[in-house]
Amino acid sequence: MVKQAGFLAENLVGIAVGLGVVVILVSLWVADASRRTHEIEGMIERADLDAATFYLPLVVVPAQRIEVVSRATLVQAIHESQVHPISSAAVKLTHPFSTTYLYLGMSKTQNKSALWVHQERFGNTSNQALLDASGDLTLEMTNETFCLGLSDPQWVYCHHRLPGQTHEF
Amino acid sequence: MSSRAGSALIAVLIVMAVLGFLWVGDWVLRLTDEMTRDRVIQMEQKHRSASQAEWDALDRLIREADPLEGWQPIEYVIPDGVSERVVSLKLANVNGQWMVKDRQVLWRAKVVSH
Repeated sequence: MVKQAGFLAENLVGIAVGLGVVVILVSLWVADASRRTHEIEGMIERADLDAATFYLPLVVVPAQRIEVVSRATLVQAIHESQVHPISSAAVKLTHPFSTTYLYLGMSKTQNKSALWVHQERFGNTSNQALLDASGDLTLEMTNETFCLGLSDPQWVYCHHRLPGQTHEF
Repeated sequence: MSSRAGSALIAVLIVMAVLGFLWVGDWVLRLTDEMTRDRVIQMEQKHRSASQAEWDALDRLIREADPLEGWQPIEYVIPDGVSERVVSLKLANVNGQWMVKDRQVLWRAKVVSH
């Protein structure tokens, strides 16, 4: 009888220790998973910004004229687009055969605000959301540099004027 | 007694395996992130160098150009890291000052062998 009670106590202690270890492991896993989720979200956001860093030179380097235009001018240029501009200003890049606008906007299909690219080439237009962005779009331009800044995510892209380019602001 | 020691050893091994798995996962994530960041920084530096190289090429072509001639086409090729930037412009000396217009850029793929 005493021996059986001893076995029972040993088993109970074993189960308690096992459960304790499981609880510790689960709590470790939960803490790690939430931190990892947070990190992965940041990485995805950064991947969007990296993609934009790779994309923007493709439209900025060949531009003949870089200018900051008002929302009214932008609306007039993209009037047939489904995208609703929300930034007070936009960047207009004039190329030999096309015009590109960069601005913050929202569309019916993508109601989260984003940095949009509107391109008009030989009368054909295209609209693409480059990356999710809320907050403000800051456009700073001097004779030598042009910087595009976002407040959320915090990001600044700067371009130095190249031969044959003009900055208008 | 030996069975208890064996159970404890297995428990310790399980805990270590889980922690090791988490640590390796974390390390891979950070390493990937660091490599991507380095690549973007390198890309930005290459673009900056390409911009400087464009101005240097323009200065060189201006020194070689005839100031009495009208608008003259010029062209230079700048490697920008992943490709070659072929830039064509028109250059003229107007009232003693060099003017540049009609910028056109093409990216020519750089063929490399591995």
